[in-house]
Amino acid sequence: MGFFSGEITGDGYVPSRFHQLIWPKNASGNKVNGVGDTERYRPVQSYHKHHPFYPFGLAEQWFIHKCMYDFRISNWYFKHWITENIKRLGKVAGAKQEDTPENWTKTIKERALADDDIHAVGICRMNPEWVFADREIPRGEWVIMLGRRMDYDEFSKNMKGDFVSQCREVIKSYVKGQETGYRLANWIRKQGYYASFKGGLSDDHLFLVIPAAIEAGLGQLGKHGSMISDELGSSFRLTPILTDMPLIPDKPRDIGVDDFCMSCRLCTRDCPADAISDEKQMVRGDMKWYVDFDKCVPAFNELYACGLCLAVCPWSRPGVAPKLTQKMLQRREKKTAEQ
Amino acid sequence: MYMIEILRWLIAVPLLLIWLYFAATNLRFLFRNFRVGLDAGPAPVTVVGGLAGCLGLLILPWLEFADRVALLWVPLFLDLGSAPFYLSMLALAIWQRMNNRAWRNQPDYIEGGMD
Repeated sequence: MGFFSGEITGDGYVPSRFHQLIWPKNASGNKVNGVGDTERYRPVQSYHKHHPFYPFGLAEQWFIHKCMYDFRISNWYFKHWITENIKRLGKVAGAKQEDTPENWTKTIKERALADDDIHAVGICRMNPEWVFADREIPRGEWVIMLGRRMDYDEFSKNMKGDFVSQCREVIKSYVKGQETGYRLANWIRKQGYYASFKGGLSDDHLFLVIPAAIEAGLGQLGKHGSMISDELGSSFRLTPILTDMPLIPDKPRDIGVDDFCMSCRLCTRDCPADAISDEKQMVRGDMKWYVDFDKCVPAFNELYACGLCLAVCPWSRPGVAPKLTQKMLQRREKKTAEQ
Repeated sequence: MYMIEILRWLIAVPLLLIWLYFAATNLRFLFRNFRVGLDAGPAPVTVVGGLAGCLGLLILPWLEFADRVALLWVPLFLDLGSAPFYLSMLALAIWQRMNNRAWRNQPDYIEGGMD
């Protein structure tokens, strides 16, 4: 372990001395996230606030600087910045185009999937429970959730110690999703309906995107705290679009993730920070898979967003997710029939 | 000599314009965050503006070299993402190390609650 480099040991991740210096003494991200709380309440944003003036702010700045000024990654960061700060969404057209919610839904999905960079799309109604407690409920009754598959070969280089390549793939995926989100939101505005998009790297996060993606039928929460989809596995990124356009929501789907994660221990075993638990935990009134923030984030910061849990996940390998879903659902049917 | 001077102007002016752009953008971001009152908002673009400004100033065919060096603080301090950002980070780090209850005003984060 050096001043600027941490070390993966058998007992977990030991952050660099610099990271230890900037890590707050008494603060806990698990507390902010409501671990152990049986009461349901709106989430509080625990990380990625983009300013240093909160307990994990200095650690976050260290992460941003590592990524933003690494020339292997910075071009994608720059593209994100342009989309976020220079490009502007067009005005909402004065006259609303009329059509049925069924037709709008079909058109939106076709338009999204016509883009080579979008591989899954789902729609759900916006739930105020997902909105961060200190934010106003955003405008837009519907959430269109776009999913972009990451290149597994690039992403999984982290298993060989190349964390920069996986970080580049993550940021690239966010940027590509953001660019499609920008185009789609503009198209919706031209039809006379309000629309705005948020990328994963957006400056002002408003709500939790994973619950929305689950509600939009894109998949389920995995043991590693990320989404697992029956089409894209674990290695994909989300871009939400908020809109007033009348749409038909998708339904949440059980694709057998829980059954699988109960018996699989790959992410638990390979997490360098020992942050993934084999048991579900109570988080703000819900029993769910949860990754220990205080253990995960130091490794996340220093290992270029790490991502090992996603790379080792069997669902991530190309072509595996649809087969695994089928297998898990068949197994369950068999079990139910036996009972 | 004349050609070199033109070349220096041609390189220095775009660099100084980059500095001006990022200085203005970072100021705009700060005001936007105050105005909207968001706890999370646009992050300052750090280093780039100040660095471009310093380079531009050093290349500029104007004043003596020593005088230009003496003016280097101007691009660094007038871009909020450069010296002011890093100095505030340093101050924050020192304050955080010295004060066990640094986050008293943010009880959500404090393990075990407030004492």
